[in-house]
Amino acid sequence: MFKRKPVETNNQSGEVYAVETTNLTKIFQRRWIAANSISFKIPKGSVFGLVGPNGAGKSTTLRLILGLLHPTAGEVKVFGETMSLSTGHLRRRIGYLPQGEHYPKNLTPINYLELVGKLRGMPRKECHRRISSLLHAVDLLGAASTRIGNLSAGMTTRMAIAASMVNEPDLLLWDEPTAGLDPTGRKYALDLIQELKSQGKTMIISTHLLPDADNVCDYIGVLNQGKVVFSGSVLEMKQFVRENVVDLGLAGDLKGFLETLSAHPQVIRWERLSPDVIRVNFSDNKDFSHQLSRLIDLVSRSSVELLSIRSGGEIEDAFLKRLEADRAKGFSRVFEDQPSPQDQESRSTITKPAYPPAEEPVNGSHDAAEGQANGAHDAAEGQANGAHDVAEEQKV
Amino acid sequence: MTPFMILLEEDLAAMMRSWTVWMWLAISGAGGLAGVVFAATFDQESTSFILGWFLLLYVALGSFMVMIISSASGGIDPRTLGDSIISHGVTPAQFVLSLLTARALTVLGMSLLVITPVAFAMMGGGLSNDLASSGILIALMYTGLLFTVLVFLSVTFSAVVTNTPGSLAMIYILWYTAITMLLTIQADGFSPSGVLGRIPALLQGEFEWSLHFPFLVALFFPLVVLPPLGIRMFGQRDF
Repeated sequence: MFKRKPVETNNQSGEVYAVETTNLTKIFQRRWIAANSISFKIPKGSVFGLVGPNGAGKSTTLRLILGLLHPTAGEVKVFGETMSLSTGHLRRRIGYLPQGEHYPKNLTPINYLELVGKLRGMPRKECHRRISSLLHAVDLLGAASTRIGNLSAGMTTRMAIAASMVNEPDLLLWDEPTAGLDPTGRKYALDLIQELKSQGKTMIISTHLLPDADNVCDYIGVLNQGKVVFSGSVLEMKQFVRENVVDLGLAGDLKGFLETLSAHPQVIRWERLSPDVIRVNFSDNKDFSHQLSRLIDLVSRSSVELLSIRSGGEIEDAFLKRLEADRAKGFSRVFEDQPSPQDQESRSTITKPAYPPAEEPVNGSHDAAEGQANGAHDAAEGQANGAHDVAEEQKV
Repeated sequence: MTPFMILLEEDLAAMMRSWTVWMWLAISGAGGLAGVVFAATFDQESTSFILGWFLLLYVALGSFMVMIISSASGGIDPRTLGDSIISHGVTPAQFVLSLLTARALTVLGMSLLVITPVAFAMMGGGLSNDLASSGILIALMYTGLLFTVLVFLSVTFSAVVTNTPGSLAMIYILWYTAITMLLTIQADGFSPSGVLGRIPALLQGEFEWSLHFPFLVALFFPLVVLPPLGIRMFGQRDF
């Protein structure tokens, strides 16, 4: 008798994204802009990492996607349907792991998971079977009848992970899933994400632990002050800082080694980051691996012991660089909100596969194909900040 | 089961575990027992007068408890509500309606469980019995309606005002002002029997539609208006 409205599609091919946000904005009490015109599209089956400093708007974005917050402007579509507080059927397809311990403290994990299962429409028997396997999986069988209020932070996180997976939802929104977990728990959580990814689940993971995002995410969105400053694949993110830089951890006669280093023709600059760490910059005109082998050779011939070696281009550097680049744009950031219609189409769209050939530049305003591949590192940014980006590209 | 039924079941179970509910049940039960004993031993006043005062005190003091029980419901920390309930596919309508139903059923059950046996025990054992069954049933209906309106008001206020003490203060002022005005309108004077006004006559079975119609309309109106208002206001909140 009642026909559900046909699902809207996002493009001509009829592909429905798992999540699509369009100019999503949230202003709290007309004072605080927590999300500022956030636009991205996340294809089904991908793992998207939302990274950013504290207060960047990661949790707000997740709550907006879930419909727990009303957007001040813009909209969120989940599986092609507009999300709001009243679209409960859509929310039942999403497993949410919130940040913090906002649970009914007088319930036990088993009671709470049962309530969650029932609310999500699971048959009683199946719910019980699933709960016992989940409690076992997250290692909470021993604490299953302890009140939630008495659980440790790590245990609460594990319970919340279980709660988010009770009905095996299609989309998982996990806010800081490794927060409060010990190293073993953290490893298990990351393994679980990999496993869910292999099962074809779509996941959005908010984290400020960049190595975690690096380990498990296909795509990354960097938020700063409520604004997406980068959105694209992890590889693209790293390519922003593919500079010829290595950090060497050394012990022994550093003075002698530094003198040798200064005389090295390929080393254009070095700096001492700490008493035993030296950052070395190579010249750009030679192959990085060749220069690195030369450097290691130099170390082996010197009276120093190599304790560690870390290449530049780590995701942390890329992240910091993006934030720095965003700040450096200054007032010109205002133009980022006014993309041309063509830009709007290519903007923040992540399509699979998103990895461009390694030798291709990934930053700035390039052709449309690249605009698509680069996701949210949009053409608008390229237009508005051309000069800055060109300079950055030259560094790359 | 729908989320509405699950939440209703959960909330009723929570009410059954609440010490506030059991404490009020015990206190009002003891009060009712004292009233029955008083009616069975005291012949200076009619049973309708004694039951009238029992009902008046029950509504006045019971309102306090009803407001506490109902206001605490919608005033749950919004973040907890969002993370542990709403995020699992519950809509504002399902949540508010389940709260209204569960709290109203609890309050009605709690009050009828005490008033009904007390009233009929007074009718059976009162020394100066002048009660009529029809009068008792109408009194039960009025008490039930009053408490249901109060539950609806409290839940709606707590859905709008997230600060529980704030919503409690607002509802106290509103409710007790309304009750005092209602008593004043129908009172015959400031004396023990004057304050009761037409309540003893009602308990004796006198019922005139023309007198009761405005009261019934005034009580039914909020029952129709408050649920959609509560859902609307609740749906505008952020969690």
